[in-house]
Amino acid sequence: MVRRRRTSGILAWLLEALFFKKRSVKIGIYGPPNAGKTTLTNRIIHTFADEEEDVGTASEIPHETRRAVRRGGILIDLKQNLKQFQRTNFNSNPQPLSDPTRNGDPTRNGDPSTNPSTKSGRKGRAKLKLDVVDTPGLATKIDFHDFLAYGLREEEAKQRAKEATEGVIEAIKWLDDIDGVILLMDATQDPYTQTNVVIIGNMEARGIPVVIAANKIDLSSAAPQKIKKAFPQHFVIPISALTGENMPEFYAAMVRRFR
Amino acid sequence: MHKCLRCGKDFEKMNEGMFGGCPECGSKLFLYVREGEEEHATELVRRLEKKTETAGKLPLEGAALEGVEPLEEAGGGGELSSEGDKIESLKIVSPGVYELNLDTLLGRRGIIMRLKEDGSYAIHLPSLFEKKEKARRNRHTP
Ligand SMILES: Nc1nc2c(ncn2[C@@H]2O[C@H](COP(=O)(O)OP(=O)(O)OP(=O)(O)O)[C@@H](O)[C@H]2O)c(=O)[nH]1
Ligand SMILES: [Mg+2]
Repeated sequence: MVRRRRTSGILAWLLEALFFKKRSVKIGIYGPPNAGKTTLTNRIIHTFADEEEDVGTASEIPHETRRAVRRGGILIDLKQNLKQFQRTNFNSNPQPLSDPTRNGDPTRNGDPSTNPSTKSGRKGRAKLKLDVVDTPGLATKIDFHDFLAYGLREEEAKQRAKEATEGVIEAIKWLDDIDGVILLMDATQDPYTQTNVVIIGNMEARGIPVVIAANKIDLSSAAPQKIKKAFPQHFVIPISALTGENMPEFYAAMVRRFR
Repeated sequence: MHKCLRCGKDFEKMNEGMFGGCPECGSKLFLYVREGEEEHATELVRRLEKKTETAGKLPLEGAALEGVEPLEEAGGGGELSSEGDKIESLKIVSPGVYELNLDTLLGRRGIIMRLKEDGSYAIHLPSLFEKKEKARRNRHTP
């Protein structure tokens, strides 16, 4: 028993030494409240690490996440995980989007997960080892009155507002420790918000690579092209974190941008 | 510092051994807590809020003055920002209502706080976000 465990420990170590030489990159999932950050983080974990594990609770009430939570040890392997994508994304539309974001768009060559070596001359480049950090939603104003509509008592609502404010500060502090940012926007909302513009400007100034995900494309009012138009200098990948639509393209963009 | 969400153990740094999970309990979920500063942010909001609550009952001036001292201490030798530098990063408009200036928060000029609309003072918490700037720059230059 003990012996076997030790053997598998050595094996794990060997595997790690062979394949995971690169340190993992820390990817922060940022965006306004309710964009779907926790839903997306949970999906990433379910797909690549543990089907049972949730990093946090998703909720229609804004500022549900009020502490940043990190999940380590996620390995995205585009080739390996292709089957898994197909299984997980039973709701998804298999057609590649006909609207390429820009030159160098990762979706250009169709579904990159079927052909991970297209862009990468050498073995192993279709892999990305990462930690994901689900962060509290960033906002410029947090008002407890907004929570009353969801049935919270005044006390609860005020407490939530305070924690949400602390959450914003915490999310920003995490940035110092982060290698790449997934900026998640709700594609049914106007992308030209102060929050989005300020985050993007700041990421550019810090030199942190960004992938923008235009979320909730399962909703008929979603307009991901508006986000593409608003931020033409960035990768914008339309996704549905809820149904899994277009996730392979999103993962391919992550591997490309963050490794 | 990284705090395991399940067993609560603190870790100075993430290391290779922790990729598989917490060495104590195996959980893979960690909270990030930067030494001392985490408390500062929470503390500051809490204290400011307390002051805001009582501000309604006290003459405004008195409340503002009362608020300054402990907050200044909490800043660990932080200076009051100069007159020209009064772009507060966090404003507590009233209990439960907050305004955040993401630009200054992200700009790592420190947390600057102002109590109440009259802007009678601002608190500057320097260096919260200043670390690692160099390291990052180097890492990302091609
Ligand atoms: N239709 C649709 N709903 C989504 C999608 N992603 C998330 N949602 C819903 O949007 C709401 C907010 O999702 P969360 O994952 O909690 O959002 P968040 O960004 O983590 O929010 P905060 O933690 O409050 O900042 C929930 O009701 C989700 O079910 C999506 O792709 N499509
Ligand atoms: Mg959340």
